[in-house]
Amino acid sequence: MKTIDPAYTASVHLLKRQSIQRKLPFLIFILLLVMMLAFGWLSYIGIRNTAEKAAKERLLILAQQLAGMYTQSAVPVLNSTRAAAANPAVKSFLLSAGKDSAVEVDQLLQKLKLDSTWINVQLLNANGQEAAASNLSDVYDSLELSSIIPGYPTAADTGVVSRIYIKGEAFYYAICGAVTDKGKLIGYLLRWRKMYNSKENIERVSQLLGKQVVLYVGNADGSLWSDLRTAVDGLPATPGVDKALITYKRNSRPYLAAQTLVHNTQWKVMVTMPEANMLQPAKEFLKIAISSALLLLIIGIVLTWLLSRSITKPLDKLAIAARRIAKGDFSQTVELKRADELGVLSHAFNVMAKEVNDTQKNLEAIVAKRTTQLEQANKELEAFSYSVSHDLRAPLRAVSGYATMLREDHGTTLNEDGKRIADAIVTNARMMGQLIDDLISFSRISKKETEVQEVNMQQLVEQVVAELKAQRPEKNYRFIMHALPVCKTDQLLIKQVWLNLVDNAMKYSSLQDQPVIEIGATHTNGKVEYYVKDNGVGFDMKYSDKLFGVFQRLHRQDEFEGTGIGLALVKRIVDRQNGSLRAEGKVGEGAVFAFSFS
Amino acid sequence: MLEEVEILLVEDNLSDAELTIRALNKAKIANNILHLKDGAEALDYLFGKGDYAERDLTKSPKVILLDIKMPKVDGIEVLRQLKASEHTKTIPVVIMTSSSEEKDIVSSYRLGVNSYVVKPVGFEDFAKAVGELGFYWMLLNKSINHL
Repeated sequence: MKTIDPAYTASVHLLKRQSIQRKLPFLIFILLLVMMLAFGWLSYIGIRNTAEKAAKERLLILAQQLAGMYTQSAVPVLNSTRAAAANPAVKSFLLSAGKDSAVEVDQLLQKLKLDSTWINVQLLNANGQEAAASNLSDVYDSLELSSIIPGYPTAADTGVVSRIYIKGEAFYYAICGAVTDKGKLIGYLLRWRKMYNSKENIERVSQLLGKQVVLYVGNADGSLWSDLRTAVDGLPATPGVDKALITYKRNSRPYLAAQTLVHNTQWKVMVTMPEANMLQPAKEFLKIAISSALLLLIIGIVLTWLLSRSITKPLDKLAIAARRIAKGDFSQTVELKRADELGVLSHAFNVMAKEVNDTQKNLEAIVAKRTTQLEQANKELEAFSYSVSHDLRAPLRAVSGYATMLREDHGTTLNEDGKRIADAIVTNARMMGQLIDDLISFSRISKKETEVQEVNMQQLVEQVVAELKAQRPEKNYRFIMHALPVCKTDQLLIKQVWLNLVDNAMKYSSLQDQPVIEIGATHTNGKVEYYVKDNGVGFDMKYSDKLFGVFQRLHRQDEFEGTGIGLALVKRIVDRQNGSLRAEGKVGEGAVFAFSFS
Repeated sequence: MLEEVEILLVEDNLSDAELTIRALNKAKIANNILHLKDGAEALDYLFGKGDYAERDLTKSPKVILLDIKMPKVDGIEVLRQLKASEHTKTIPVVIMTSSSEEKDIVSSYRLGVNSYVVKPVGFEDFAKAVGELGFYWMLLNKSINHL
């Protein structure tokens, strides 16, 4: 993983670049996260809706129950008030304008004050003027009767509980009963009572309602709201709303409220709850869900990290072993002690490593054997060429020497033919000597190790031309020299190439009146081709395949001297340096020899 | 044998030996040439052993013409022993060989050879080379002895 080519790494997809060990936990993390978010959100929505619905239902039920309780508790008081209003003494008292039954009425009114919360009982005539009262002082004179008695002055049955009034710190209300005689309204009985709620009662109610839920009791027309202790401002009036949910804001906090009218009264109860409170269960669920999701995520990541580690660690081991094998250490095996896919892989790997190891050893043995054989063959070849150069030349020297001696010592006794024969022996012996020399230099060049360096071709060729010109002083050659680029090659070998090519050009153009030799280089597709061109005898392209063979010649010895080694040597050198050599010619029109290196 | 040997020729090939002697004759420096036929004989002569045990070792040849490729002891070995001995190392040695094998040339010069000549096939060239070398080294050796 650490030795992959960066360019390759950059070319693969981002996901495929990462280590599996990091990738797997990451993917699992993403998967878990998405799942938990989806489930958590759905559950939260469900729970929130349920909680909201439950809270609303509860508020409505509470409001109705409380309203029912108030209604229920009003029933006996209303009944007793109605009964008192129907008392004949009251009727006669009112009909007689206070002349009859005054004592009975006074007793009745006193009786109607059941306990200390009942502060006054009034008897009014049809005009709303007080005809009698249990107490002298009355603080309710200023109130309009129409606001106390619904439907006043026409209502026939006014068995209702009035609105609540506030005076000082206390709340008051009246229970009202109409007094009729033969279907005609003749007066009203008003029983004033102070609203009293003991601390215990209030606490009991609030316990019943639950946290943050508040009960308000007030007037149906919204003119007053109380929390059973004091008046409360800022609550919605909403007259006419009954058995319904409303929402409102108080101190910029949203509240949900259920309002229900209290029957037989002018009251209304309202149970409120902050909206935030309503969503409390959902929020608590969310908290638990988030914390357990985090825990699960951590556990999931740790587990998948361990799992991916248990996969990637053996893979790393395999990769390390494979890399060592690639570097040539074939003794590598990987012991994983597992029976799953990775175990199978490691086993296959070990088998492969052993196979490679064996093959490698075999190959090494074969190579070593072949090398020994090759070295042996080389040695033999060296010994052979050494022996050829010594032993073949010695008798030749003798042949040439004795033929010379024959001419020198016995020239007088030899006739012309004898002298010609002796000369032929000397010439041929020298010729064979030249052949042997060429053959040896040919085999030596094939063996020579090449040393590639930057070679200044221009300088080299000028030197070669100067050397060769000196060897053929008898003829005036014209050289056309073009600029030659430098070349990366073996200095000695390339010099031999130039020597042979230029020498050939000079040799085969030597019969022209004005031999012209052109040396230059062409550039095609970034490749440099060096050439030597002459205006000599040329050659027939038909025989061009014979040009570069060892001892192959296109001219007779008496036309041009030579052994047929020169071009073979050039070919061998150019081939050895992965170059190419070509020749073009036409009989009587000269030849071009060109070479290039890739 | 009584006369002082001026040129010691060590050469196993009799034809080459004859040609060399003829070449030296032509160059008029053929005084007292001793031809020995192999390296072993040359060592015996130079260090006074075997057949040459009686020889006066104070008299050394003025130049040794030494062939390389010889049976028994080759020219390189003879050269090595010559140059290793105090009393023979000043004698100029000219290696004469048929080959221009690089390893021969390198080992000869490493051992301190004075000249190295590849015997050409053509006799004219051969005679010229031998004559020039023999002459040069005999003259030089004379001048050293006279100093």
